Amino acid sequence: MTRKQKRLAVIGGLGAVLALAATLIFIALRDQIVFFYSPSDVKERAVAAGTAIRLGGLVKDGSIERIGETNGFIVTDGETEMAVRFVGILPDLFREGQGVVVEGTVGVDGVFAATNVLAKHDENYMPKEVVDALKQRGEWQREGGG
Amino acid sequence: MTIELGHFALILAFAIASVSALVGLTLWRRSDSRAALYLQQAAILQFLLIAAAFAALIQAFVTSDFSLLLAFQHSHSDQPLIYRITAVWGNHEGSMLLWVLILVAMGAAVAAFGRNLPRDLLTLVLAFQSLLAAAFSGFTIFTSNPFARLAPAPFEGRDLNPILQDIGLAIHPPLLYIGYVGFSVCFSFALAALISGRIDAAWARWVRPWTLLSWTFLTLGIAMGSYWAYYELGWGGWWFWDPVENASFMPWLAGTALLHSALVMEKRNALKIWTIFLAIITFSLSLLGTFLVRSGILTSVHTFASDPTRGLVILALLACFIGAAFVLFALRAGSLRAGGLFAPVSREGALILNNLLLATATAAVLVGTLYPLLLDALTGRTISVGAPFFELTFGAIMAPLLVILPFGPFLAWKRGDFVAVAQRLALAAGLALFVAILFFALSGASVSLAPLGLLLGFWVAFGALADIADRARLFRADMGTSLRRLFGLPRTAWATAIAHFGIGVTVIGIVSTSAWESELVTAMQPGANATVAGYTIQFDGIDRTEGQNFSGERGTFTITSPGGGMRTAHPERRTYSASGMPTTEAAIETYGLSQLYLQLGEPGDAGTSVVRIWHKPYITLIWLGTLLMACAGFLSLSYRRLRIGAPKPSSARQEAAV
Amino acid sequence: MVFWILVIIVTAVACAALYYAAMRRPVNAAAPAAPDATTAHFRLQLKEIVADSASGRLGQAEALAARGELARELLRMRSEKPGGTQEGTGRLDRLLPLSVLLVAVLAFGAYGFLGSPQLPSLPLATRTDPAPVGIDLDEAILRVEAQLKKTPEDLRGWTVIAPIYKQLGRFAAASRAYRRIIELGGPSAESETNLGEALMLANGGNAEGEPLELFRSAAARDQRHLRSRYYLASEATRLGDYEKAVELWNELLALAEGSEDWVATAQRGLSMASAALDGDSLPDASAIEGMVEGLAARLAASGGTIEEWTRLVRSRLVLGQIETAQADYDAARRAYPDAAMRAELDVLAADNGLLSTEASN
Repeated sequence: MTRKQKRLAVIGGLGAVLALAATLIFIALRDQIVFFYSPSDVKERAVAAGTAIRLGGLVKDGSIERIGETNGFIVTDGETEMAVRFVGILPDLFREGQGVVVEGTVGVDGVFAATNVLAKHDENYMPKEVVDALKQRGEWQREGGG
Repeated sequence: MTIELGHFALILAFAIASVSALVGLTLWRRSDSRAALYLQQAAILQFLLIAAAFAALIQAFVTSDFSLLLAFQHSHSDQPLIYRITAVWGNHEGSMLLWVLILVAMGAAVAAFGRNLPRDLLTLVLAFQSLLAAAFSGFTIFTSNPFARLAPAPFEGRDLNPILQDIGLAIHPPLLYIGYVGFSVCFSFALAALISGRIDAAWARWVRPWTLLSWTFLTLGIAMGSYWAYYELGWGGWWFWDPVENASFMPWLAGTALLHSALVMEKRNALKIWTIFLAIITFSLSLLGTFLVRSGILTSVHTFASDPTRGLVILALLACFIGAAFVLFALRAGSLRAGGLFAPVSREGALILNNLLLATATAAVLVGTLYPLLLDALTGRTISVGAPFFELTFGAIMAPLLVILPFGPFLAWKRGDFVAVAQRLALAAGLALFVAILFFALSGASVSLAPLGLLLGFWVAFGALADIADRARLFRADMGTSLRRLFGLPRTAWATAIAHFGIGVTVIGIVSTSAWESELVTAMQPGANATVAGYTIQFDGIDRTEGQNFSGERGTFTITSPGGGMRTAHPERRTYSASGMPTTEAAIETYGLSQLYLQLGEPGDAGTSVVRIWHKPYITLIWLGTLLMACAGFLSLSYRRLRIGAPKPSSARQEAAV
Repeated sequence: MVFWILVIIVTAVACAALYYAAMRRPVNAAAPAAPDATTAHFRLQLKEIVADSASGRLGQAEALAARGELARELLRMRSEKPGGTQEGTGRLDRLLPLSVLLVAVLAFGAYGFLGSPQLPSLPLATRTDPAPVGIDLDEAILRVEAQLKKTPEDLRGWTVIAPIYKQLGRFAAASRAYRRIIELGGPSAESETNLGEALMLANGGNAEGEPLELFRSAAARDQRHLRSRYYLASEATRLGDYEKAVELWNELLALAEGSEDWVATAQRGLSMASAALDGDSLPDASAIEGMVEGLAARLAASGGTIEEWTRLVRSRLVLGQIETAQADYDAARRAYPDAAMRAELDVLAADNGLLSTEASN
């Protein structure tokens, strides 16, 4: 092998590794991302049961009920409501009327089975996604109404 | 008056930094030493002044001086002394000042220890440090001034966020910032090298201690942050692939690559362009890490100092520095001379592969972190890229790196003999396989990738041991010779082996925790029992607890371990009186290398409480491994040859032989 | 004065240190001419290597290799060295005083712009005036409460304590007290409005249910009662019943005698409600503005807690109504002259460049 061929082989090898990695990242981006939906999105898009999503909205006033370690509450975007079931301990700042993001899947019974309830370490926290989603709902309402 | 003196000191430091950056960049070419002396003095003055400003800020917080707006917003006279001090950097403005303080401290250190640098290089490096100090102290003064006053002064402050009232705030940000900011020195060196054209082995030798220092502190900072989140957030997790975490992890990955490529440059005068590129990219990622999340563009569970209003300024500042650095790089990189040649199978080859994989991993993390932003901007869809993405891509990229890792230290420079190395590593490989199978058989779980992960962890750990054993001729020479050789090994050899061993330990911890963790959520009545992983946890009841600035409920649990030992654990739910904010304090009991993690939920009817219990096998290994890596960093730093920048003789001898 | 002297000394010392650092001739230069910096650097390194090998930190072979590499480096540097770096030595001499001057000018300029040299430090321990008002008020409340426990039929006691509760933000207690006043003294437009207000505040500003009933009853009871009409109008605006709101605002404005404080707010409420009524599509902002106007109307008419004032000023700022924000801020300062109570508001105002015109305390 001449020096030039050697160098080409090395560069080719590096290129192959990079290409492989890029493909991997691409595939992972396609399959492993989690979409964010508001309850209305879930209804409109008919999200299939079992798909992992993030659901965001406001915790409906008076909707929290606790039976032992199982928590039930309703997430609303002002238009559509969605019941959520979560087994575990709710975050410290989880409150009625506050914004919340839950991770999990839509169950066959239509109840959202949450694996994780996200809250932040700040009293005034409203997840950015929730704000955007609520704003969007507002827009949609206006267009529909006007 | 002290507050205003501190304010003036900060502004004076900004003025000195701006002027000396100008002077340095105009006059660096002069070969007499006066410009360098000027910049050295300026660097030391900047440090003294910012330190004085920081001290004034601390004094105001300690004495609860609420005529300082920052103290009013983030402190309270009821807070214990330590949290009144840490509250100084538990917010955007104060943490900016800490960041600048560390930046100028690094500049002063370069000025103090850099006497043996060529004058032009020293002048340029200090000029760039001053430029950074001017930009960021200017940003602090004009957009986030920590010395803003309040008149008339209120009588009480608003309290520090209770989550931050923890010893973690005293340790984690300073460590992390030393890590982030330390890379600024590498960045300045890289720009200075590009401008002066002085890019050679000597340059790599001067840069390496700074890389090592920053890398070591960043390692400690990330590990500390992870442990803090683990015990304070109460979610039982230690890594969430959250933007803030990724932001600190990317410079670490790039810094690790830089550490290794600087080695190649120092020893073999090769990989110059790449090393310069890495030095620039590492600090750019550090900047991104510090500021991206603060800009409010990305949200994170860990954000405590976010300030969206100043986001644009921050991003513009970042774009200026990073953009200018890359323009300079593009203009000057072509003028670099090519370095030494080597065969694909060689130490250099292995290090290149290491760099390639680390860089790819960094890119994967970067893509995952920024992709939601991109998609949102392009299509308006909101998504989140969570742990599954990172575990898949990062895992897949790291696995080959771990496979080749033990080979690296065994391979010779220039041309290595793969077969000979494989033979010398056979024992380590066999041992790793045996232990992994044994471990797996004993734990008896069915997670598919866990045994492979364990195998990799043990392979890396044993490979590091094999490296030391091989260098000491253990089992090949007589015991006395071996021991003598063992103690005679250069500290860098030990450091390499210990750091690599640490990686193995961390991998073992990660794999065993994720594969064999058990969790139980249950509502318990006082007197009731629960069993998790052989531990019996009895709930004894709840009583009130009062702290200096909080009150709350304290649960009492009696834990009986499988060995029969009894312990009492007290998870708490606290409400902080000044802010009215609730927090949970998990109870963590360490058994050997494993931990039992108890979290208390809201009390329900009839004394029932929801309790969440995790058993996390070998989880402490994760942090023990990172501690080993940091120890290795300090050990290597303590090696005098590295500090004075003397060349390593063996490479010279090799060159003579070839 | 002491402050300025100190500041001048610090600046002078820093500038002098900079100036003399650069003027200093290299002390250890034995050679008469300043040695070439690069050579000096290599000499220094060589010295360290010699010292290290003498003390045994570097081995013989290592030291030799190090010297060899140094020599090669030096040769390469010399051959690469571009000529003519010794440009006019006068440049630094001219630049130096200028740069030092620039430091002083920049520092004093920026500080003059940003600093507050007249403000002393105020550590909590040295402050002699910690809000005696608060303590006295607490004691007074306790005394009245104790007295009322003994004589729960004392109408005067309840009348004293109810507005204090409201002022302190203890709305539940305030509504209990107002209810007691109605029980003891019989309903009047004023007392019903007071109770409705307290209930509404306890409910986070939401007037639906009992408060609304109370306001209606009060308005019906007294044809010229202002406050109850205010609440009815602003609640209608808030709920988006603009037809009703326009009617109510008009009714209210008809009662105005001249240019009372609340008239401007009521007119704004009216114009907004009628704008919303006329426009076929309702802009988002006007719903928010409606709520804000409602709050403003109530605060102007009957006052409120400092938190509400703060909320109002913040909302104005968010909506970009800087002038109204200033006016509301001034009103709030009049309502709460004690600076210790409106700390948050002051901070908000200061952050957003509102003026605290009069130095009231």
